Amino acid sequence: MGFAVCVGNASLVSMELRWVRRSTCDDAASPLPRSIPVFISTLKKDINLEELRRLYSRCDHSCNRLSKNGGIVDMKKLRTAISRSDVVVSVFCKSHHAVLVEESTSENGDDAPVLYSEEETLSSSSLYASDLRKQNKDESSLGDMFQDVLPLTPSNGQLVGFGRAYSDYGLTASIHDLMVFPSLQRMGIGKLIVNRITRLLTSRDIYDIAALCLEHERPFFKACGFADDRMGSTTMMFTKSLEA
Amino acid sequence: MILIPTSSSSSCSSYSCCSLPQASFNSNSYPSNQSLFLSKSGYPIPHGSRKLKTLRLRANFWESIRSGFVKNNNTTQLVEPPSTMEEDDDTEPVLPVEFTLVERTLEDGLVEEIIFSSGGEIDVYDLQTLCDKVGWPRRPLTKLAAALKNSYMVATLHSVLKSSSSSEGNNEQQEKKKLIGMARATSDHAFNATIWDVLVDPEYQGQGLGKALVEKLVRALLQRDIGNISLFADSQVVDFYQNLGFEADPEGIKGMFWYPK
Repeated sequence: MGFAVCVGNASLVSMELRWVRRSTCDDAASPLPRSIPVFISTLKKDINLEELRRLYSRCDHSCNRLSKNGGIVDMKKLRTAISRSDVVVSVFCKSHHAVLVEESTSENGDDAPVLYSEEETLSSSSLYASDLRKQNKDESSLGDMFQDVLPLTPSNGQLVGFGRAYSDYGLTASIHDLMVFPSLQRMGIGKLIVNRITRLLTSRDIYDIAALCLEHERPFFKACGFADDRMGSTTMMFTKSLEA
Repeated sequence: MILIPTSSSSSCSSYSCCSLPQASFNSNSYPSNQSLFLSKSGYPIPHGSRKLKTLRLRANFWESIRSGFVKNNNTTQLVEPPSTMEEDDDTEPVLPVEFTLVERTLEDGLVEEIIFSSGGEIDVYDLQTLCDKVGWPRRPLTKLAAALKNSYMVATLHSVLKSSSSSEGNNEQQEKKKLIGMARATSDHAFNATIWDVLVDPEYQGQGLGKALVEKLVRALLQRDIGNISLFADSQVVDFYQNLGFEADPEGIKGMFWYPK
């Protein structure tokens, strides 16, 4: 990863532009260029809930870890969860890179059903990848060139990676909902997110950082510096259903 | 029934009481200390500051130039009300709860009440003493106090010894309150919660108190619709939690911890 442009107002950088690249052996046929710029933000205000929900469904990730609860995303709860997470990292990439990615992946028509409470309204116009592509074709070449040159910011980028953690600001922290868009995986984005989260936590003097991971996620976390508990503890989750 | 937390790896050195600036660490008096603590570590203030707003203005500046060139205006999809994330959600606050679990009369005529309380104050020094009793390594008091203050739920068990009094002389009644158990949970207030630091005074173990502590904590979390409740149990207490409805490594989910090289 070559250069980084840092933008921040405190001793800790809250927004950063980085380049991620794939190794040569992966995906020779991918339409994506070998390295693309991504924007990392640790600010909650850069998160668009609707985009986040879409990311959840694209990555096939459920808010409820145990499958019994189904894939329905409750938007009100999601909003609470984000606002109450102590660390939130989102990664954006340029829209036209995201569009390329969406073209190559097969369009899985049904996103997870969404639960909206009465207060929420679907105000954002959802432009699907196919529509965008048609419109892009008519674009002037100047616009194309301009898009490449334009600085990437959260407001003009597409959310492709996410991770969050909550802690008690003293001793412990738990990382949850770590996900990267499937076609953009293996480019170091996930690792970027995890490193950012741990960096933010250790800067607050929290070193006990836990992550609940499924079997197939273990190698990834291992590569990020996580390991089984040295004290030999067993992870347990509450699975008994409430008796009426 | 000794429960050892995995967070003991954070610090094993004993913390000298003399070097503390404040006499007591009640959660009431904590805020001033906490602001000191936070500013030292220099982590960014969560709410927007002026410099961030300038950055946002600059981004909008580029947007306006771009929209002049690009035929198709994509900005409708991306502009969202900035207030989406800024306001803090008004979730129901965790109300303090207190009730008597057990009441019994001791040999010397004293009445002992075991009181369960949640959302109340904890004296950090009392907690440190209790941790010593069960044999846990010492952790810095400031960190302990911060952890208690910022945990989503803290449930405690106190033993109150009352000297038996006649109906007239209630003013003379003396109470001795002692912390004998605690359990706490951190959460994102919506989906996930992790239970840490469950401990009961060895003298009071084996009476179902630990079970009551955890059970009530779990029930309170479920009432708030928090579905993913997890914890990291030491090998000798796995059965204890299994009896309470917890399952080890469900669906292959395991916890991993960060160990910097």
